[in-house]
Amino acid sequence: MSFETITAFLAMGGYATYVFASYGLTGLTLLGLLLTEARRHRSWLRRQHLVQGKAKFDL
Amino acid sequence: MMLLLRELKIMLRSPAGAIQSLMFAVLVITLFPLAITPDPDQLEPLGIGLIWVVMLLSCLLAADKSLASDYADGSLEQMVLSHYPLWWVCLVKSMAHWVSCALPLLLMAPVLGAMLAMTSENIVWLMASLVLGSPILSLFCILGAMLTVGLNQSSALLPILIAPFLVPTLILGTQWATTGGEAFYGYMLAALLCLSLVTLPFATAIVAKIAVSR
Amino acid sequence: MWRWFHQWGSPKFFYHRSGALIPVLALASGLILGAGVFWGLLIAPADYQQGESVRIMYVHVPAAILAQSSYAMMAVMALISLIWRLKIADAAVQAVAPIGACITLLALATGSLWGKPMWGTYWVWDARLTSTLILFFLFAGVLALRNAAGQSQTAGRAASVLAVIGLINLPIIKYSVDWWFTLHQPASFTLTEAPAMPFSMWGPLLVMVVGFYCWFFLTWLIRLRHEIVRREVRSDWVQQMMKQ
Repeated sequence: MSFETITAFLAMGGYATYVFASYGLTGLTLLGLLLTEARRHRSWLRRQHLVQGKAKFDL
Repeated sequence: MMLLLRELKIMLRSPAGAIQSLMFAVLVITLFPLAITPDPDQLEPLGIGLIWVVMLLSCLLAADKSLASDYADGSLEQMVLSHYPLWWVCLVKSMAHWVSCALPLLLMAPVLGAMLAMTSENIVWLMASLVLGSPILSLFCILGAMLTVGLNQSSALLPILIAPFLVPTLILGTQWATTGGEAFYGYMLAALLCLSLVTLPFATAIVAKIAVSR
Repeated sequence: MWRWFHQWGSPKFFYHRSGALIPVLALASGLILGAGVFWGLLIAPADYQQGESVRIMYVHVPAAILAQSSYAMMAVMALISLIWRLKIADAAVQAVAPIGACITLLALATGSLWGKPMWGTYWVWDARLTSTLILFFLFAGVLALRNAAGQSQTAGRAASVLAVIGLINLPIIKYSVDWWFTLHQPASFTLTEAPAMPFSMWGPLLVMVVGFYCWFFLTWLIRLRHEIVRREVRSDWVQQMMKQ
């Protein structure tokens, strides 16, 4: 572990805003894009099924 | 050759395009001192870059119009189907664009330079860099025009597409002029010109076939 | 052997077979990225000069690498779609363009956030950031052309040509921006070129890069499958799939 205490970790040597903002942005982007695309595909399939008529949908 | 004459005739008949490009350039050059400072000492080092940017913008603006009328009346399709090699057609179009848009600006460069308090030596190098660099701009602009011809917002779209490709020319041209003609940059610019002359008309020809099949 | 490759060119085959890849890639990205973040954020040492802010490197560098290589991949797909007229390649280009654009924006944002502690300002016209910005414009151009030209096949071909031209110009642009920067480098600015990184630093970096790529292929695959099904909605195999 590079940090002695959790407080030290959260402080990030004074750069907390920048480091956590970067990681946060990255997480948001990666997860966001992934989930948006997955959801878009799923809901499209669901709508097509409603039009066509039946059950199983995948991703 | 007939094609070239045709283009020149069309341009001579309505010099509106050239005049518009000139007016735009002078206007933008006027805006800069108004926005920044009239102080000649501060304007002088910016002169080369500003005029290069204005040249770039003018070329982009004029590019959209250059193919629009040809597309609308079907003559673009005729050119694609004709027995003329398509790369030659595209090259001629680029030359026409250069003559109608870049050349007037080139000739006006001393005046624009004087408005920005540039020294006469700088103006000479500026013109030299524009002579080598503006044909490259025209070649790229015609490529962009061919990519966007017939589309809805082609005039707004074209700059977005083509501007990144103009960056190397801009950098090389301004550097060559700013350093008072250091040979290396001149050679690089000339090399870029040769490369563009040899490759871009063919690329534009490929795009022309796509554009016409829309 | 060639036939095996050829099979994957068929939308139907691709769609049905690639479904299995998704949970694999999802698991891989999750685990690898998780491990990378843990290693980079918690275990890796702080830098001597930059302190803890060096940890931003573990997200910025993978994003920047991915931004460039995703453009290259897009352009290669574009070339394939132009030469071999493969519809699936065209779908791949359409699928990857927005992802690449977003990753480029992320690289710009994280680079900017890294710049503030390093150089004191959020934006610096250094070679890397400037060429990443231009890369973003290249992505935006392909997206804009695609958008304006519609969904037809010719629209796809125009955007593909643009992507290929962009790829050919990319080295020229990068070279000229790099060179422009070395000429104008302000005296007070020192390029923090990383000296040979110890394993404790390039280890997590490598893991993050691999993780980013896994995520990239996962998202691309999902988008590609969506594109395929959307384009082929009237075909028999899609109709069949719906009825099941």
